[in-house]
Amino acid sequence: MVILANDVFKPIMYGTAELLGLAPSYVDDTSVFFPHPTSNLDRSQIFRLVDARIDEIANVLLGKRQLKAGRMKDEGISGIKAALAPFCQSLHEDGAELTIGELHGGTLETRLEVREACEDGTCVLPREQLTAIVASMLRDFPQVVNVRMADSREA
Amino acid sequence: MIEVYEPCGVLREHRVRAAARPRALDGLKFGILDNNKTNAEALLDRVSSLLREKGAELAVKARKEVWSLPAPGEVIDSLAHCEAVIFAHGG
Repeated sequence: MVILANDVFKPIMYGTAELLGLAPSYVDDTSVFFPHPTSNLDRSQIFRLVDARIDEIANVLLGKRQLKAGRMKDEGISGIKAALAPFCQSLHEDGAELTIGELHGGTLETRLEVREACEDGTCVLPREQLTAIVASMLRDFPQVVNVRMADSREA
Repeated sequence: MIEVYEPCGVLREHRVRAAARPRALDGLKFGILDNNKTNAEALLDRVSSLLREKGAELAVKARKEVWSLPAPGEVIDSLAHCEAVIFAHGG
């Protein structure tokens, strides 16, 4: 099975796979994503989207995810930072700064600084939950095996 | 006396294994399943055309009538003899 889907449906697909008892990697192993929306494109635009992904589709069909590994390597830390940017912004609005550090041996180092405006620190989720959220958001980045977060509230 | 119920249930793990992958595109009999949303057909037409250029054979072209519901049993059955199925949904 190869599933072709718009990228906005990723969270639903991960959740559905889990409910169906499929392996956590099922969506990553079987799906190829297109930028949302596709319903407003004409036939030639759809064809171009497919043409750009046909090798990836063939690789997924044959169980070889070569393209993905290459893409992840190219994206490096900048891709990780881009993926986390909206989350960092929401933390900023809640009174904390999440800094994305280095990636070493599969462990992503992050640092959370909770500002004075949030003195007791309760306006921001506990470190354990934030770490789990960050790890979940990076499930498309197989090079990130573990997320470590230093929290100023624990200093 | 107050009767108190234990709220913890029994966790039953239900794991499903994915089907084995085909080894090559050449001669591969594949099916496509269109979820009936806008442009799904165009997208799958292009995919099947390009896969045929790589030697695969389109064996079944199926469509769900209602995109938000699971495919009916007869649609799934029609795809059962395919070696691989490509499914598109989007919007």
